[in-house]
Amino acid sequence: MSSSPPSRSPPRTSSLPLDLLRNVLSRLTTISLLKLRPVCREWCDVVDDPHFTATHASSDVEGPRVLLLLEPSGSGNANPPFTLSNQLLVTWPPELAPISWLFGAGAGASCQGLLCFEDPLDGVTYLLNPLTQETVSVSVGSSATLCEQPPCLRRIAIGLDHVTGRYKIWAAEVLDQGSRSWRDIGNVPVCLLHLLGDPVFAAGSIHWEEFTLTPCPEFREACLGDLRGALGLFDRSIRNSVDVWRMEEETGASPWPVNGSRWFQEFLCRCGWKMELMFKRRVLIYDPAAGELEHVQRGGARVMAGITVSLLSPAKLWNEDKVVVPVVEVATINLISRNLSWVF
Amino acid sequence: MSSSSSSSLPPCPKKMITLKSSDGETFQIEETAALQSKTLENMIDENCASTPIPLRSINGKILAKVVEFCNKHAEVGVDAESLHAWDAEFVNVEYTTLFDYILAANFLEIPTLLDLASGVVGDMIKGKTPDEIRKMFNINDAFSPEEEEEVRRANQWAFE
Repeated sequence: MSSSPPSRSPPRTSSLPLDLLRNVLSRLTTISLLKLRPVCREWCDVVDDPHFTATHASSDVEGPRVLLLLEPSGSGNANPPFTLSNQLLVTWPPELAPISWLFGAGAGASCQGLLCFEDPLDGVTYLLNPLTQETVSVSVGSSATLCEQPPCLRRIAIGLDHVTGRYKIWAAEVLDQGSRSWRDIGNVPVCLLHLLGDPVFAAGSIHWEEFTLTPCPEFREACLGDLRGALGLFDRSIRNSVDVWRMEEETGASPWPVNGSRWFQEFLCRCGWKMELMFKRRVLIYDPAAGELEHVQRGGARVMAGITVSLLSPAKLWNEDKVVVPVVEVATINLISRNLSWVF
Repeated sequence: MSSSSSSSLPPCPKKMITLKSSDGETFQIEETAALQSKTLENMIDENCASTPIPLRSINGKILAKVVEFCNKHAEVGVDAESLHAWDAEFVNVEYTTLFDYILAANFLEIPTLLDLASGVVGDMIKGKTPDEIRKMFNINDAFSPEEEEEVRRANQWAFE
């Protein structure tokens, strides 16, 4: 600083205190935040801080997007058409992982902008941030499960346990944040793995390590989902429609009140309130709050998962002891209880 | 006290409290309006609000605006749309004033004002160059040009 500019006196407030600065920055989109990294060391540290990014990713700033990965064509044509729109994140698969490893990443395999996947050959688990392309291995191969179940059939999920404030990866055994080896969690009912498909992380640790029977709606084919912190059941038994049920933790009497949302076809994944669906290879995003259905143009890319973009660094995250993220209030329960249907 | 029962509104005397700014100005504010501030609410609960409350970190100009904000938000029967318009006008000020609002709202714990002002500052940041932001926030410890280039290059795709 030589001398202050003559035109305007510098602001009296030298800067906002760090907590108030974080509060301001937490309202910006992920890309806006990324563009703030060159401002100064302090701002760069705020933007890179896993606590900040994880909290940011859990907030409502970024809506859900569909992650599309481009198939390597081999012909080396054109520039990487990296795209981030309101609906999509289109990018390349990480260098070390062929697209097939990521294919089949289920509804539970993404959390706060990170995607979890396994190397089917040696069972090593990876965390990927598809936005920044940072990939880190978080476990050695899983010995126990490898014998019983080929990794390509393993259902994998990642989530934040709100009780302990630690992340966990679940694949019929548990990998705790910071640890590199899987922990056995005893008897996982086999029917869970086959009947309900992908495990999901909803409402903290409740649906993770303890298995108890709970009354639930009748269904032939269903999958689980996270409805903003509550466990959702997506019943696909009826052709061309999906019934959404939401588990109520508090009300003892009727844990699964009927939510008669009906919409078309196959359930792909959900993210926040919006839900992503597949219908005859078309991808749709449904917003129950607005009752809107959007079509997603996806070109030749492969649909991977629903994801919230974030700057969360998988390596930093896994080395953190604990990341404290405020629990998102589940406020508007009745949003999905409207009856909705439409025809193409 | 009137014993008239014809009016449905009980004659309730407005309880006022007095705030004193850093530069010695005093402001009267109705207790119901002051309750939007957690800090003031606690003082009222602890019966510490009977004498003027000194607010050493807030000057008269800002405190006047904060009182105006609390009064507006305590008004009964204001529809959301007009309040929204009023808020937009309220924060249509220089960013230095917004910083003062943020600091005051933080000190007094007025979440609505903190949210409002922080949101506007956030909007101001969007689309500004790092240089403009450094000026705005009076940041002196910028990266060296080489460091800045390196940080920028690491996220080149975001700048395209």
